[in-house]
Amino acid sequence: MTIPPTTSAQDLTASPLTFDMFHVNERIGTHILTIDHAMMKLWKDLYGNCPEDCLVDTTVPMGTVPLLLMQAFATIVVPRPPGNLHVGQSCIIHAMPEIGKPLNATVDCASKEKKGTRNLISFRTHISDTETGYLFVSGITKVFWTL
Amino acid sequence: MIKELVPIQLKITREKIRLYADISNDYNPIHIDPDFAAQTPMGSIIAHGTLSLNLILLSIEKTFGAPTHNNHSIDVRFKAPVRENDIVEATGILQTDGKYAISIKNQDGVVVIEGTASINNDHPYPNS
Repeated sequence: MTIPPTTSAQDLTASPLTFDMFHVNERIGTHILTIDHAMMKLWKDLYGNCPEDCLVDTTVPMGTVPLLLMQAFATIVVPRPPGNLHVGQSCIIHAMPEIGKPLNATVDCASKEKKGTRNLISFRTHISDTETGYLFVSGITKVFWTL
Repeated sequence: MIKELVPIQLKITREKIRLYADISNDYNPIHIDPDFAAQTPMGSIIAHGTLSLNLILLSIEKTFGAPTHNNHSIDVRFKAPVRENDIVEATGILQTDGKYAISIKNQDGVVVIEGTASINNDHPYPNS
């Protein structure tokens, strides 16, 4: 395993991961994440009361799916070089979790290739119930990696 | 099937970009450091792609209601940067294949995100 599993926030003093360090189908890391009511208040600051009653609903709004995937990616795939570009995103939504429920996020390297002078890496993320393993959301995040 | 998704707009301010960095944990300096961003081909800070992409999912939810057990999917490309003070709007139009052509355009009509969405509210237990 070239990349040590990640469970905490990014250490900004560490040397960034490079394109050569990623291996297709290898697990990069795992993280427990939660969308709680404090997060929903910040969500409301960003998007307004959308969907309506987002602060009193018990289920995480579907609009947060890209955010969930980005939280998982940004927390697990570290340290990243500055200037990476997010160029594509896909996701499949099976169901939305309850607000406050701890979620297990995993990120794997799905593929990597050279695109001219650029490095394109696809990361596969799964977000599931920590207790039952039920898969809520999966996604592929495509990034031009600068190093 | 509903022919068009309910459009949703958002003005992208520097404050929103910074707040999104906080809640997404993505502090790439291309989003939050004007001096760094000025040295890149982007020329100035750009918003996180998912800050705008979230609008597509909000639009789907606003159109079809809160999801229960479903199997929605989206697939998009980030085609152009979203900059501070841009006003972006998410839309979707039903295609003949049953998928929605989804896009986000800025105030000048430039498509910044483009792709497709499949909406399926009839799939009761996809994990079973």
